[in-house]
Amino acid sequence: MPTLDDLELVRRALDVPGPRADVIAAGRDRLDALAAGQARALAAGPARRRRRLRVGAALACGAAGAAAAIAATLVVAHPHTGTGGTGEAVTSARPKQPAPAGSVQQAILTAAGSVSGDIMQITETTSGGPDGVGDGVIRYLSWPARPAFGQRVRVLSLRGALRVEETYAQPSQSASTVMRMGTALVINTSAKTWSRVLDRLTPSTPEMISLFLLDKSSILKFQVLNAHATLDGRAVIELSVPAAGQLRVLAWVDARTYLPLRMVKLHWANNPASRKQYDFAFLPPTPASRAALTAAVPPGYRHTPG
Amino acid sequence: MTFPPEGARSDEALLADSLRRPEAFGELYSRYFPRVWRYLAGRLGPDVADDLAAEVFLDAFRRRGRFDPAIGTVRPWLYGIATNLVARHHRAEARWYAALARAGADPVAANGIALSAEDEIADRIAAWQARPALAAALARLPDRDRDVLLLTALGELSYAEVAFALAVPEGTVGSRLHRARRKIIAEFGQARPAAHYDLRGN
Repeated sequence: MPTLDDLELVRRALDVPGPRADVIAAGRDRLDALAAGQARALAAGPARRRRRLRVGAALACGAAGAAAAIAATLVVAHPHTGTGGTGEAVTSARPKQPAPAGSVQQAILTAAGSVSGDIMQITETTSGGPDGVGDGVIRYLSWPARPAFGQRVRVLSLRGALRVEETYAQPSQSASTVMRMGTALVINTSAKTWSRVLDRLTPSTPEMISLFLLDKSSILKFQVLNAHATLDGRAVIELSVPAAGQLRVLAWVDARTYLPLRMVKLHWANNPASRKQYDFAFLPPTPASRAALTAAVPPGYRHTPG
Repeated sequence: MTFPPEGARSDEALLADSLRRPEAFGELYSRYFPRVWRYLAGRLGPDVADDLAAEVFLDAFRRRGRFDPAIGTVRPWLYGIATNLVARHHRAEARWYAALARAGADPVAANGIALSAEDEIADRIAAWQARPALAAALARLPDRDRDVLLLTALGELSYAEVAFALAVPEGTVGSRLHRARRKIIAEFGQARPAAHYDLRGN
């Protein structure tokens, strides 16, 4: 049950999504120009410093057009996290110009549509959960990646000794808010037991991911933070995904295919150190890959009540 | 998220370095611009924040030689500069609260609901529904009480940090915050939704 105190209520009521990428870049350009003016004055030495500082002051007073022309190479940190804040192996070559508004989002939308029927593979790595609860790695296979209303969905979750296969019909409303009737087959390879549950299922991680990264209403609100980044050696586009409260969501899509490669949620458990990382792959739904979605009960396993 | 990130240089070290290498200040911009922008957007609205957030950093850059790390840290110092800017735009702040007080369902808030984890949704709804009454109550607070309340709630500063940001004693921060919270609770308490939603159906 929600339990907001008045300070938290104030914070949430006044909270808005973060600044646009072009606003961040414009402010940075002004600061860079000011810093470049001072850096040149320092390099020129004491004899010329006074005049140089006047140049810097003139820039600060609003000579933005001239200032923008001054080249300044600065170490660029992630606007939301600071350098290395997400722990990503990302190099951020600062884009010379902001990406054209809307073009990247449109390309991502088109790419998302092309994998709607694919199997989405997600590797979820969690840390910083409350008292360590939930920490660890879970692998999901979900098909179809972006189901239509009424379509049959199958999700296989693998965590340690547990294999859980869920099947249900996609509800009509937002997957994040609707319970659905379905079945869950739970196999414990450590205890060598299995059970089957017919019940209301909570929305699964792949559904939430699908909402974050493959849904049109979400994609159109992505902010491009860096259109020329690299992630593990691949050219990627770095994005900020709108999210509520203290939650921060960053994503990286392949710069060539525009398909999601990774998403990171920061501060997901009201804990500044909490972090979830999702790595993605999209697999064509061949008979072999679809067979991998089935959690067959091995012979000799004991049935337990669901 | 805590700043600076683990293993990174401290804000104060960066600021000191920027006196010799001005470009080092860019790292502080990267760390804090989104936070300062959100603080300004919460008080003045996103449009005004777009115009003013960079001013905070330009002002801080020009004043960085006078920053004394012996008496405070960089983060509240930046919020203090931002709060001074808000004071110079008090009409914009009044207009923003008036707009919020008039507004019903906000698409920004609705988007937050749709994209947040399900456990957070009911809280978001509660905040969303309280928004108009809360904005009206904020508008009626004295400026100095509102500064303390919003530096605490939006800036997430401690008493000591608020005291440093506003250059007032910690005891003053405590009394102003207590007064502001009491008024806020009294004003919007009745508007708070009585029932919440348990989305897991428990």
